[in-house]
Amino acid sequence: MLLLALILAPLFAAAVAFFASGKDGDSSFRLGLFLSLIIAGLGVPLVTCCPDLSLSLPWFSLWGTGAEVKLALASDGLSGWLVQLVTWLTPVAILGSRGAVKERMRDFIACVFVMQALMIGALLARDLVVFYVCYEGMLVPMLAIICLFGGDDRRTSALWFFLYTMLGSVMMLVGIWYLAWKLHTTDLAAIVAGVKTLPADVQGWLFWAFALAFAVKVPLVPLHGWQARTYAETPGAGVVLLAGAMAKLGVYGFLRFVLPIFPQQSAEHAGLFIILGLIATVGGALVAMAQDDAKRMLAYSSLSHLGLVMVGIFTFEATALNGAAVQMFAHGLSVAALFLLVSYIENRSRSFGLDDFGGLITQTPVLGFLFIVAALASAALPGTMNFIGEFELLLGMYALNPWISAIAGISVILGVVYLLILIQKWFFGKARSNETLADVSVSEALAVLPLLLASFFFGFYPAPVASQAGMVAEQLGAPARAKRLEMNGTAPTAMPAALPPEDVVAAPELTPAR
Amino acid sequence: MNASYLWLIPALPLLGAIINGGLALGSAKSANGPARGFVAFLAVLFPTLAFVLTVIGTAQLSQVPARLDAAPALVQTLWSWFSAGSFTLSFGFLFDRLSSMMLLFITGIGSLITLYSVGYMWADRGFARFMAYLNLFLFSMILLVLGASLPVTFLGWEGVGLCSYLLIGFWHTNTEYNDAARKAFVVNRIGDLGFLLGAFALVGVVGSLDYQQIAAFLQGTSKELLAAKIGILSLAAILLFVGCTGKSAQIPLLTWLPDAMAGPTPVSALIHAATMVTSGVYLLARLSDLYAVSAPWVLGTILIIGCATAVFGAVAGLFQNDIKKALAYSTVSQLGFMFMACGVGAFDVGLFHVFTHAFFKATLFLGAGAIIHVLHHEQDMRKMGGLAKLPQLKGVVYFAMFWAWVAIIGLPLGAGFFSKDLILERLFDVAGLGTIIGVIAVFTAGLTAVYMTRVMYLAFWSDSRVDSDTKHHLSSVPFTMQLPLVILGIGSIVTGILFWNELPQALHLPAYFHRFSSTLFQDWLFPVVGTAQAAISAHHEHGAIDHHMLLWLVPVIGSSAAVIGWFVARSRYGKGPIGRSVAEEPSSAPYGFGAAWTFAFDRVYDVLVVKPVKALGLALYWLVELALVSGGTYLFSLAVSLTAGGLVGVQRSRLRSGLAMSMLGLAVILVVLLWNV
Repeated sequence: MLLLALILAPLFAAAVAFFASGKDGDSSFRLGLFLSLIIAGLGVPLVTCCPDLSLSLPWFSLWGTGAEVKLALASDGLSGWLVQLVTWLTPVAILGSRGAVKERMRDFIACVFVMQALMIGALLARDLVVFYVCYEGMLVPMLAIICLFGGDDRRTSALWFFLYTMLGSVMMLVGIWYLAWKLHTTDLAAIVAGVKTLPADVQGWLFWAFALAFAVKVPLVPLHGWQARTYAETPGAGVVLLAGAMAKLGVYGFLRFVLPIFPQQSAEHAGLFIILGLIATVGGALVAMAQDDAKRMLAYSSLSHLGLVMVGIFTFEATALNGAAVQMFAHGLSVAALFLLVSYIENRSRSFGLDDFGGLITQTPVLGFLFIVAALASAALPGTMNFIGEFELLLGMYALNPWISAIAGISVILGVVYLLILIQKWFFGKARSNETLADVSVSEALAVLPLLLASFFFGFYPAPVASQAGMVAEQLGAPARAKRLEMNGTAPTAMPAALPPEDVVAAPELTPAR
Repeated sequence: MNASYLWLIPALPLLGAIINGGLALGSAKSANGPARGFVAFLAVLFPTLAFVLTVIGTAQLSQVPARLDAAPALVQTLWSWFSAGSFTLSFGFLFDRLSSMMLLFITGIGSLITLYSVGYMWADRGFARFMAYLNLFLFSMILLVLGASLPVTFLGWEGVGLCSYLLIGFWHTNTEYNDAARKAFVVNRIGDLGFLLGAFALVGVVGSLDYQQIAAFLQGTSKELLAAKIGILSLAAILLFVGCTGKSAQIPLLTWLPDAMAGPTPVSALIHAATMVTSGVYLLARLSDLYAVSAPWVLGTILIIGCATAVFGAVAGLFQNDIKKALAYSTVSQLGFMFMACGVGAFDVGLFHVFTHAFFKATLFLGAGAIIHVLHHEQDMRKMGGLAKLPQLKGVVYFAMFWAWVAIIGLPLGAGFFSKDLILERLFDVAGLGTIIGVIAVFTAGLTAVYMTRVMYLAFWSDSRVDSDTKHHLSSVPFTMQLPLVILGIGSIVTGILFWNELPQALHLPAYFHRFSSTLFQDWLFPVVGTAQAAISAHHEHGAIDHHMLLWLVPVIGSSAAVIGWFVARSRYGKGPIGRSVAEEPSSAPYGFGAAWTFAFDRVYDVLVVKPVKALGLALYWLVELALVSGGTYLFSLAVSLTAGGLVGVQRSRLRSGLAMSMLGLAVILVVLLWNV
């Protein structure tokens, strides 16, 4: 019931916010914040007391297929932690949107809650149709946020965002419908079991139908055309949810659906995805260096970081899969913090160009401090959660092929380059305009601070995320890994540890951590 | 043996950093910042407490008997840091003899330099911020040497890089300083990637990154099995050395260190001379077992790189007019000496030079800082001269600098005499490459004497060339700056006896001196690096010169080189009013050399790396992103808009109603679906 409540509560909150709150922005803001915190509290049991909930209610039969769609929801470590990301980023987005949205807060909050409900639904769904409804439905409130609160170029960017994601998803819809027609079910576990009975070439087409839909959302090169433009035009608080949480659903889709349903095809095409991921990782970082506005720079930085995650996933190494789960969460925190801080500056001066400011640290010391810390988190400074994620990802890649790790590692260097350029141009040096910016307000600081504290907390103690979400990711990738080893003609081995343990003289016992 | 207080050693400076950082941030808008006395008290207190704890730990550690199979160590495992697949790692601390030696001088000298900074930075508006950064640096540096595994060390490794960045760019309104800070961070990151990849390679063989497990594995595994893995082990070793070249400013990643002198002088003393830049040597010693089992070309590379860096730094040091730059190149050169020692497997000697160098180079930098303080930010040695006679400097500052000078050029009894001669001795002890490098090292030791004596002449011993304006408004050196200079100046002389070795016997000194025949330092480090050193020297062919002969020959050669260098510099700068030629020429070096001797590297990197990368980024952005991806999308979206324009048009023109309709549509879908239940 908790799972159902987690989906319905935000919808209810959206209705309450839309109909019950006053016309003024303040009351909607307070109400929205209050409700979002309640929902966030409601989600906490998923990763604490009850990590393995599931629920299945009969729903309807899918026309013309004979498949009974069930409202099948379940939570495990991966879903649970990503739900935390969604539920906790929502109050952050609301808290941080005060300056950007102003009097139309009511609409904004309603959109945010609807989006939250659908993202939670997509994360918990264990039925392809339920997943699809939520996954597609997310687009509507997101587009609404872009169209209502976006920048000058919002229409084109909304259209692009819509076209890209729609085209990707249509393929997946066809795929789901085909599966339902052939296998008479839309239940994920049944599909995983049943898809092997289909002809190989059909499986190949189905793989691409799913992979494309998720690759658009991640995004993966070359399907990233919508990203920079959309991030740049979406209001900061919207990007928090878009980049912080929604983009993670693409990666989640690969982990939850593509790898388990199509292990054979995933293993066959792993090389391609690794190459595309590497192009995104290094190319994204290179292009980020060439940007002259902060939002586009961060968009390309996102492309780079998620490219790294994709490379890690398609190595199928346990370490890298664990790192992918950690990094999804870590990147959600850091990118949300950075976009929020950029939006604060944007709200104050209607600009986010690199050359528009200088010496801000003397005008806005707290904002500068938060920004530098968030940037360092994004650059995976050890001690932040991003470091754990990147370390595990690169370690896993190295186990598969050192060159992958070395090439991907270039982004570790470039990541520092562009962020330091941004910091230097904005916060150091001499002021470049006569305008004096006000420092962050308490509520603005409160929106960012928990993200950074969480990043450091999990940087030193990632075990909760790594052992719950990471473990699930490892399991989800295991079949594909087995297929790859089968293809290579090697038996599965536990670890790259090349020498058997009996050769280790006097080495202390490794203490198992979990 | 478990020690539950180890975590306090890094935590105390961290607490200081958090409190002072909070104070600095909270009072950022006020005119003066927080109360300086309070900030200073906390900033000095916490590192001092860390020093006290280190002393306690060392005392406890010295009670643990050294055994062949297990090096004495205090350990504290805090929690499981991360685990993925079958790779697990604890967040823990390892306080063994190597860590204790490093920690003693890091926290000791760190506390002293923090005290010095109280006087040096007192008038600066960013006083509290500076103190917070210094404490944060000490926290990171302590983590670096106290970490029980490579990732914990890496935490400190990148942490010190960050603090270095923050402190080089401390005066952040100056674009040049900011550029220097950014360069330092990025160059260090390049090395850090090598560190990471090296660690990954090590995981592939050892399966763990815990130092004790690595050592146990490498010492306990049979030679045949290790020989089968020698390729990967050598790769790991050389990649980790790449990390060391970044942090310790060795060729080819040395370009950031001279620029790093943009930071306040105490920073140069603490970070860019005494502690952070020596962490590369620490890492090599920490992983000495790895270097013992890797292919010989790995140590050979380290030897050659160290030698090349030492020569380069010494030659560049000859041509500097900025007193801090001269000392910076000297640091580069001295670090080269340390790596030369590591290159022949003499890790204990390399570490001994780290130890003595920390004292005398910190003294030199702090003395230079005092000069800069007295002369109101004058760093150009052409505008100094005769400082030994100035009342503000002739006491403590001059004498501390003088003894540090004795130490660095290697005059007998100075600390550098012992450590440098030990390096030479170990070099000559190895036939072939070692002996050749040894000869070059002697030459470099002579150069060291030349450039350091030049500094002394230009600053202290020649006639005064100080501007008359400045001369009338000299500041005085406060007590907080004098005390650290006194202690470190004494350290520059006395620390040498810690490795006196068999010298008294070799020189047939009277029995009285045999009492000092202490090998304290060597014995202390033996359980950590001894096995590896024995293994490495077993591979070496011993040099032509008999070992016993080396014992007295090398000190004679070394001190002769120092004296010759001294006299060479004296003949150039010590006769008559040398001020004229040096002071009036724009620079005593060829054009472009005086400012930055790394310019050749900078130019090469600019042409080969920086510009191509930037151009590639721009090209990718314009050609691929804008032309191809965006252009394609634009054409496609245009086509869609034209064909199916109606619906999109409605939504676009009436956003509110569009939103309402979408919501309605969604609701309808939900209702229809639910109806079917």
